[in-house]
Amino acid sequence: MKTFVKVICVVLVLVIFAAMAIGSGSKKGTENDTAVNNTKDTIPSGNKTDTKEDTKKETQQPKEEYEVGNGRAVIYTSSIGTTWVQVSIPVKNTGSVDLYMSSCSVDLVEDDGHLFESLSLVSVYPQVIKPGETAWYYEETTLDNVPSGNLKVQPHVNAKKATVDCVRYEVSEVEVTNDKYSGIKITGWVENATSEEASLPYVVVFMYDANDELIGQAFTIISDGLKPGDKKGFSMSTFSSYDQFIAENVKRVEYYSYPTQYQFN
Amino acid sequence: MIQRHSFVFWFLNITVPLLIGLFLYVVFRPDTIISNAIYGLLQLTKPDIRANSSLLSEVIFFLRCYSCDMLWAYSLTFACSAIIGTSARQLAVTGIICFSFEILIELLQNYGVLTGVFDFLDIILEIISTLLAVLIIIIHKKIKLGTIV
Repeated sequence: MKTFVKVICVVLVLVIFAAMAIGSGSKKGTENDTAVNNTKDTIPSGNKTDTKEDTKKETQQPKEEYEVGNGRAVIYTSSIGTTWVQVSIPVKNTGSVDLYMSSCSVDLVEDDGHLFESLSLVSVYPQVIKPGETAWYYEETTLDNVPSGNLKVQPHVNAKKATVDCVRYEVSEVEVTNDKYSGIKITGWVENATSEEASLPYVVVFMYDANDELIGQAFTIISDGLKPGDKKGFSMSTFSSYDQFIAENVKRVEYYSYPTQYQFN
Repeated sequence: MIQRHSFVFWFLNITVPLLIGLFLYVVFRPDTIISNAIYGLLQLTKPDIRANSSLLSEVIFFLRCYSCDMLWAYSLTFACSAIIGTSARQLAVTGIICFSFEILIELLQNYGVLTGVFDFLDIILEIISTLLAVLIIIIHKKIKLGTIV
């Protein structure tokens, strides 16, 4: 009997101490949920406490953080003499929650700080990224004037915590070949292995060179959708005249397929 | 008188570490559930403790991340030992229960069952705290029995 009482008392003590352990944890879904931080800009340099905190105890709270990588603006001239710019900006989800990305504006700035061009509604692919994944803002457009030197890319990234699901469809047997006339042709299969019909699914392919630099991107939309279990072929062509953008230079491809999703809050 | 002294010894060794831990949480970890509750209850503004030197930064980091866990484990060991007893066998049982519980809590944090972050160093420091508590209990017992003057 005495032993039984002791056991009950010890269990009670353990329960009380477990409750204390829970109480000492961070409450999920508080301040950090509302703040989207560009970690490159917001991590204070030289403050060891804060830097360690980011990687240790307090990281249990869901965090919306992303890192904007080095954007690139490649200028090239088409066969008919038009000046084009290919803009690509990687954004990596460095937080612990899915991010919903939306189109943004991108400023192209000359070496002396002069604003050369401002691009609006630059699309991002894919729209929803999981922690650790990278989305790309990508645009190819014509320029009225030719810049005298290099252009620096200054994006105004739009990212927030995703309230929509991160849905992906399976892409397989992706082949990259040179198109008959110019640019690149990409073919492959996309399969909806989910239980819901895919409405206007995107298939996007990123192509990287031997240095693992993004040299081009292509996308298509399966206009008639994908029913659960459906597997459809896709074919897309790029019309880029960027001379590095040929099938022989493509050493790695990365692809996503996902539904068109909107998040208004 | 001895009994009263003994009660004070056990009571203080259980409650004081918890109160110190609570104070440290309120000052250095204002984002935790318990701190949020206290700040909300007392309508206080949360402090922003930052270090100006790297040494102070390390101290604050230790206080934030590890000291409370150590105090918690120390108090737990005393609480269990107060119930189970202080013979060699009973202290061994207390140690096993405390070690297991401390590891279990960290594992539950690792798998997301409990809030908090799994940290192997936490386990090490909690085990050290438990061993320290057991050592203090043994010394206290020996003093009480007169085998240590």
